[in-house]
Amino acid sequence: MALWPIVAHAYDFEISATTVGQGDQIRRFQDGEVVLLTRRRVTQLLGLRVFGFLPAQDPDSGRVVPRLQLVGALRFDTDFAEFRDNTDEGGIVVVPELDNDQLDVLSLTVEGRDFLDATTDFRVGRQVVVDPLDYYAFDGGQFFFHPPIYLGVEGFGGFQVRGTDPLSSPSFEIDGTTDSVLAPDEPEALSPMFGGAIQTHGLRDVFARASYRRTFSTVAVVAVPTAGADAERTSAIEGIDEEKLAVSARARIGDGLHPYAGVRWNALTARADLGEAGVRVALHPRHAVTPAWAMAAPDFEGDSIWNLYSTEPYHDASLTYDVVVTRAHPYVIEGYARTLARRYANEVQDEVTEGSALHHGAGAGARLMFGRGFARVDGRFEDGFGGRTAGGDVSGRFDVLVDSVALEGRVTVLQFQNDVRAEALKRDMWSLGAQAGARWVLTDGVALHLLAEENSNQLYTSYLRLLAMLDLAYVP
Amino acid sequence: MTRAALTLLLASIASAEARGPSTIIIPEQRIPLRFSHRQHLALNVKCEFCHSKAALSRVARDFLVPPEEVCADCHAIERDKPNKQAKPVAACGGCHPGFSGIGQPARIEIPPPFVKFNHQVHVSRGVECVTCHATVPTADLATRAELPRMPLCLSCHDGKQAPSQCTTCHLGDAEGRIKTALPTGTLTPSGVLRGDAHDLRFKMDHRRVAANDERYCENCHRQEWCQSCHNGIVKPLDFHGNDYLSLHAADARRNIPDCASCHRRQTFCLGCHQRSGVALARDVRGVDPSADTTTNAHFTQGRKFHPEGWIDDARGPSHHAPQAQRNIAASASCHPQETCLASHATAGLRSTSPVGRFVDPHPAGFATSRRCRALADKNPRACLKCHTVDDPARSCR
Repeated sequence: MALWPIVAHAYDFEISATTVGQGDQIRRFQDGEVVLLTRRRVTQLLGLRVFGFLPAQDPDSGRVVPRLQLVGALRFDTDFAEFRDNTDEGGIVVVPELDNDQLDVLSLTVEGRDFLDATTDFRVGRQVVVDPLDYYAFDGGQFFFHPPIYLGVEGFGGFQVRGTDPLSSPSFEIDGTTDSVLAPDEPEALSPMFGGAIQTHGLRDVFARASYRRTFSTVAVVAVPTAGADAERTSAIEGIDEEKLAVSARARIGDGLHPYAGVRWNALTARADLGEAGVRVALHPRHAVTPAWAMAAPDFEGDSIWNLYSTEPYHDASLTYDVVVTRAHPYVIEGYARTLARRYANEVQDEVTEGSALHHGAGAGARLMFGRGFARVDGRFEDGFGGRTAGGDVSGRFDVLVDSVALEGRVTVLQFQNDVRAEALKRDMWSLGAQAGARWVLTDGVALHLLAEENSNQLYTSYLRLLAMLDLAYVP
Repeated sequence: MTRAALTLLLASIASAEARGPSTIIIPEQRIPLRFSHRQHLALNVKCEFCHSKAALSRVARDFLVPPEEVCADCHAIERDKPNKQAKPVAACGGCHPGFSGIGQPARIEIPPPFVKFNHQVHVSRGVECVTCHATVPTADLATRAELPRMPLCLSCHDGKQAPSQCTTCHLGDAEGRIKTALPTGTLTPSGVLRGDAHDLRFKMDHRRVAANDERYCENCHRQEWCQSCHNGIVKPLDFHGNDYLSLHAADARRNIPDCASCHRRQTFCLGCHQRSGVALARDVRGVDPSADTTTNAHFTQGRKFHPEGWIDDARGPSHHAPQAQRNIAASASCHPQETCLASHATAGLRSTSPVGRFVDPHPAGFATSRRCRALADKNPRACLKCHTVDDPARSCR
């Protein structure tokens, strides 16, 4: 024993569990009448976090302490809902996202921060990534090397999470294809991916990042048969699912100007499919104006035929003014316009100009915070492409017992019209909705939330939605 | 006029410097004193003469206002003579306004700040007092307003000269993230550094901050936090408000907000639409490409979703082509690819489809475009869904 001393480590850990029960109704579009289908769903979320694998250092030493931790989020989702049984149409595949009944590992990573003299971070496992390239998940590793030269380098690689992977969330399925007779192997295909980024690090007033990612797979497809022949599966063909390059930058000029810009290049479609630029101008500590522009073109995975259609990006311009009268009295006023493709032009030069190619709208909101809650009013008007929506809502929260019992509510009145529906459905409609909820913190780490939502419009007089959530957290 | 407006604008921007620190971090203080730092410094009184403990202080909660004994080194204070006339002032009311010597003067109330600060480290590294307390030499009573703001801290704390981790100064939790739930309220960014004030619109437009620098958000938020909204299981009721089921179609066509931030069209949207009968149902492995998917046959018993003229040969105002061109993602939320193949595929598929019509969906000039070459080079599988292997039209020119 003396030769093999045992060092006892004390790890910190947290466990959280959230149980969500939902019941609601959705309108069924068939058989010439409106029928409400009942949906019941139970979702169990589990969070696990373990910290302190490394010995703590003296905080007064001036040295940055490396951290190593295990972080995981798991989910089990069950849908007891009714759905069309389609007995007259041969049944229906309920897609994984709606009929999950499986354990999803949303993320499970070992993370290290500030290793090697505070120059290296890493993350290994199933991880979710948010960057200008996308919002996606992959199984693999990522490192970020940031020596004290105001520049960092990032590299990552692994397998992109697909909706049909074991223990995976369908929310991260690469979008653009679904089960297809023409590509039966696509959903199960392994999708290796790799990428990297270079970005500024430590600069107070400037941030810039350039990143690249490529995801690919090798699967067979069922080739379109020549006339008179049977369809045949091809040999495996390698193809790129996603390949993107993104560049973004942001700066701070004084305390009042914050310009930003970014663009994403989609190598599959050889065009920029995402762009944005704007500047937040703080005219005064309490007043800010933000003119902004954004552009987006449809973006699907490489196997999707929709990438090659004659689709066009939309351009979005907006102007937002926000004012904080006091910290408890923020207001916001905004206006925006979005232009969409005006002409249809395909290979044979057909051209049609019709309908509204402009969407525009304006909104305003105000929130009043007071000692035991807040009240908020929002209004908006939108018209043009997509239809018209006008109305607003009033919401609020009141703490009946501070840190223990709170009541919430929201009432919405909207008038709307969808501009692309069949004439029978294309009419002005009014919607009245109300929510009422309560939050009860039973004790430290135990909270119960209840919420009911009731809606009424010309399509149905009652549409009820119920939600109950039990939050448990254990922090020793 | 223009010049005046510009001057006003610049002055307004500059005045942003004058804002006080967050009351969440530095709670409001009560300092019922009459005192002038400006006058004392003009007399060449050094900072450390009064604030002798400051250079040794290691935590921000240390009370560094000098006690009366320090004042008494210069001011001939005599407690039993509250109205004593002297120069420099020695009467109680000289420093404690309204206090006549009876009872106790109004107390100074400086609640502990929710931040870490080690004066000793800074002093030992030669940081002058005025580097951080720059306005003190011109101030009378020093208040919260004379405390440094984060932009100043970050001019040294850049990861090179000094550590730049948020929890170097902010209180952290066991996981190393900033502790945002404080007794004084919830700590949120002011927007001074990154234009990321968590204001009324932030839930709608946080992409411009979050998508560009994930690590910055992770200083306060776990990935779980993001997923609690972005994973599409529980409807965030303050984002998708009442009756959103009825209202979402218009939003989806405009793509405001961006549906793809949380939902995949070919799984979440399509699945729900099929379930509820809005979209055509699939069999076990998708729709037979020869099936008639263009006539809304499944709605013949009831409502027809698309307007008249949606799929006519003659393109009228309600034809689907311009609609798809503007937002084909909306089409993807209701139709599998096979729906489009039935009309848009080349001869091979047309021969097996009773309704198939070769309608070229490519944009003008596609065959000679970079887009054609890129798509064909990088993933020929998509081409094979419409073109036969030996179709000459499959080649880009």
